[in-house]
Amino acid sequence: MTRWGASVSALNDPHERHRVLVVDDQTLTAKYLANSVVHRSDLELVGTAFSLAEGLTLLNDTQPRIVLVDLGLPDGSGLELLKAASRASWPCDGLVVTVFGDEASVFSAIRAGARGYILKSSGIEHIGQQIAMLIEGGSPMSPIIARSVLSLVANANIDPSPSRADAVTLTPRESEVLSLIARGYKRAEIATMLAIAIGTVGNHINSVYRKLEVRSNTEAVAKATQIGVI
Amino acid sequence: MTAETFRTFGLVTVYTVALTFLLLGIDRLIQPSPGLVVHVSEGTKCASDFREKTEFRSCLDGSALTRTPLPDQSLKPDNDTLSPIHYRFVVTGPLAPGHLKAVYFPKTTHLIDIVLNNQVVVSLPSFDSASDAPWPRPDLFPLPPDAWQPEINTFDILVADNAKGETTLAPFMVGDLEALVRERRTRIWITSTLGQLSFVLMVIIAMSAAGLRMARGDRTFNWLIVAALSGTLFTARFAFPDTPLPALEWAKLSDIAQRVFGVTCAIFFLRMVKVRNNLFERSYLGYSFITILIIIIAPAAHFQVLSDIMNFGLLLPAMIFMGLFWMNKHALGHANNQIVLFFFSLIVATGPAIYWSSDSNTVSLVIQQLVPLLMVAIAFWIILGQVIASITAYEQLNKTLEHRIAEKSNELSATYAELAESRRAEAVIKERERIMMELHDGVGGHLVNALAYLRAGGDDRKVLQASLEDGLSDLSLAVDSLTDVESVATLLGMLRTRLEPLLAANGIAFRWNVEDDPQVPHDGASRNIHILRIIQEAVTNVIKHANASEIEIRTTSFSICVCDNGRGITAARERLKPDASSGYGISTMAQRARELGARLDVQDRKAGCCVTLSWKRTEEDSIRPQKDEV
Repeated sequence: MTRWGASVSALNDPHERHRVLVVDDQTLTAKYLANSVVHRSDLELVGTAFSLAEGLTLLNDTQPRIVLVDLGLPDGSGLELLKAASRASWPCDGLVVTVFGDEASVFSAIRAGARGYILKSSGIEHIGQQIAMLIEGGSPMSPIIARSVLSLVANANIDPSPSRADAVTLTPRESEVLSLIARGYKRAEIATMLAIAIGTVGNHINSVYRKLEVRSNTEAVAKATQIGVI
Repeated sequence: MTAETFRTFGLVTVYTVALTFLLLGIDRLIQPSPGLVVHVSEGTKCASDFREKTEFRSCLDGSALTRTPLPDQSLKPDNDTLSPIHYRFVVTGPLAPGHLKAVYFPKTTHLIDIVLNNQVVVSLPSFDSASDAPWPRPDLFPLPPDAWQPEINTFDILVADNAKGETTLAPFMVGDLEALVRERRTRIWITSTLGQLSFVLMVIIAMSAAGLRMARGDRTFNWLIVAALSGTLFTARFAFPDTPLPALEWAKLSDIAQRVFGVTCAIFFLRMVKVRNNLFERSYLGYSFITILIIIIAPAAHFQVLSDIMNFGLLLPAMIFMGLFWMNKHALGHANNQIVLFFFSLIVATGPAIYWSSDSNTVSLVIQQLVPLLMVAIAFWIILGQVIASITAYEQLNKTLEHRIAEKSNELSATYAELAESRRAEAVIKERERIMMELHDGVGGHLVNALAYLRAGGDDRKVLQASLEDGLSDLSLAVDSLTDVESVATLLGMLRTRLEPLLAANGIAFRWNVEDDPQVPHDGASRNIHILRIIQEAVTNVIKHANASEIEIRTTSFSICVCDNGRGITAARERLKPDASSGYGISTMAQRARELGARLDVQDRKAGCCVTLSWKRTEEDSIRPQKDEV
C-alpha cells in the first residue's frame, strides 16, 4: 500500500523528474529508448544497461521510478528484472519493450509484474508520452492482452480450482472495460461510452494489471533476495 | 437292431407298463364313500329273447338266468331292432336303514325300467323313449323308502340294447342319496369342464399352428393343424353335452377323430425332431384308415370285438413312435426331454389302463380326458423349445454381428483417424505455406526494396525509413494473425493500434464502431491475414487517395465496413492515370475476400466511399435483430 501511496505523492509533485532506467542488449535500440527519455523534461535517464546482471545492479543502485526492459537479454530473461522491479522497496514500475506487443511476450511480462509495454518501433515522442502516461496512472493495454485476460478469467470460471496460481477474478466494470479494449476502443472512447472519467478507466486497467501479477512466485522472491533487491 | 435302439425300446416299454400299473393302482385305490355305498358289479341276466315290454315279467319268472359280471362284455346287439335285456341284481349290504337311498349309474345305459323288490322305481313307456345323450352321462334315481329292505334287496333292470359298446351296463352303486348326489355332481363337472378346457386349448393350438405355418412356411405344422382340428371334434362331445347329434353318431365321430388325432400328432412330433420315416408314417396312416373304415361300416354285432382289437393294435405304432422320438430327442433343443417321454408313455398307458379299470368311478374317466390335455402340453413344450432355440440362435447371430460391427467400426475409426491426421498435417502444411508466402511477399519484399535502393546508391533516409516501416508493419500484421485469439474484433483492434500513428500523421481519425464480433466461417492464421490485409488496404487507400478526415470502421456479426468522408472512389479514379483505373489493389482485396468465402463491395456514398466485406448470414444471424441496420 505504501508503494502506491508513494506513487500518488510523487504524482503530486510537479517539480520532480521521474527517474528512468533502460535495459536492452541491442545498443542502437537502447540508445533510441534513452533518447526518447532524454527528450522529455519531466523524465530523467538514470542509466542504460545491456545485460540482466547490469540491469539488476543499476536497478538497486539508482532506484528508478520507471524501468524499460527488453525480455531477451544475453545473460537471462528480462522477466527477472520486471519481478525485481515490482518487488522493489521504492515505487518502481516496469515496462516491457517489445517489437510487436504480441501476446506471447507481453502477457508473461505482465504476469511477472510489468505495468504495460512499449513498442520499439514507436516514434521517439510517442515512447516518451507513454512513459509519462504510465506515471500518471495510464498503463497501456493492447486489445490482444485484454482479450487474453478475459479468456483467462473465463477459463478460471470453468475450472474454479482455488489451487490455480493464475486465478484472476474481475469486477463487472473491469470486464466491461477490458471487453471494449479488446474490440479496439481507446481510453477516451471508453470513458465516453461508460460515462466515466478517463482516469477511472486507467484505474480499472491498473487494477487488472495488479491482479494479473503472480505474487506467490517463490522462485522470483528467492531470486530477488539473492541479488539483494529485497 | 443296435444296442441303442434296443435300449430305447426297452426304456419305452418299461415306462409304458409301469405307468399302466400306476394308473390301475390309482383307480383301485380311490373308491367313493366306502361304508355308505355298495358297488354292484355282478348279477344275473335273462337269456331268453323278448320283443315287448310286457314280456319282461315272463322272462323274470323263467329259470334261464345266467350269472353275469359287469360291465357285460358278452352283449350281442342287434342292429335292426331294439332288443331289451333283463338283469337282476341282489344287493346284500350293511347299509343302515332310515336314510334316503338311491341307485347311481356312472355311465347311463339305455335304461327302460328299474324295479326294486317288485316296486317300480323308473318306468319308461316304450323302448324308443330310452335316453339318447351324446356321451354316457351319469344318472341318479332315488328309491321309494318303503321299498327298501334292511338286509336283502333285489333290483330288476331292463336295458335297451340298441347300439355298440355304449349300451354296456357298467358297474353301478346303491346307497346313501347324499353321497351319490355328490358323486354325480363331481363327475359331470369334471367331464364337462375338462372337455371345455381341452376344446379351447385345441382351438388355440390349431390357430397357433396355422400362424406358425404361415409365418415360417413350414409344412410340418399342417399335421398339427389337422390334429388340433380333430381334437376339437372329440373334445366337443364332452364340452357341449346338449348338441343334437345322437349318441351313436357322436360315439363314431369321436372315435374317428381320435384315430386321426393320434396319427397326425405322431407324424408331427416326429417331423419336429427331424425324423421322416416313410415306412412308419405309411403303416400308421394305413392302420388308422382301416380302423376308421371298421368304425364306419362294421356291423354292430361285431363292433366291440373289432374295436378292442384295433385299439390294442395301436400300442405297436405308439411304442415305435416313442422309440423314434426318443432316439432323436436332441433335435428338440430342450435340456430336459425326459418329461416329453414321460407324457407320451402316460398317454399310451391310458389305453390299457382304461380297458382294464373297474369303469365304475371317476378316476378312469378323468384319465381318459387327460389325453388331449397331455398332448397339448407336449405340443406347447415342443413349440416352445423351437421358439427358444430360434431366439437363442438369433441372439447368437446378433452377438456375432455386433462383434463384427464393433471390429469394423474400430477399423473404420482407425482409418478415419489416420485420414484426419493426414488431412490435419496437410492443412498445417498449406497454412504454413500461405503464411510463408505472406512473409516472403510482404516483409521480404520491403527489405529487398530497401536493400536495392541502398545498393543503387540511394541515400534518401525517408525512402529507407518508409520501406523499413512498411516491412515492420507487415511483420506486425503476420504476428497478429498468428495469435491464438479468435476474435475478429480483437484483430481489428490490434490493426487500429498499428495504424493509429499513421492516421494521426495524416490528420485522419478513426470512428470506431466495432459492436458485434464478426462471425467468419473459417478460422486460422490465413483467415486473419486475409481480413487484416483487406482492411489495411482499404484504410491505406483512404489515407493515400480519399482526402478524408475520418475513417469509420463498423462491424456487424456478418460484415465489416470501412467508410470515409473523402472525395469518393469515382472522383479519386479520375485523378489517376487511365491504365490504373482498376487500381487501389481492389482486385487483390476481392481475391482475398473470395478465399474467405466473403463478398467485397466498394460503393460511393454522398460523401466518401464504403468498402464492405460481408458473409452470408447464418439462420441464427437472421433471427437476431441487427441494430446497425436501423
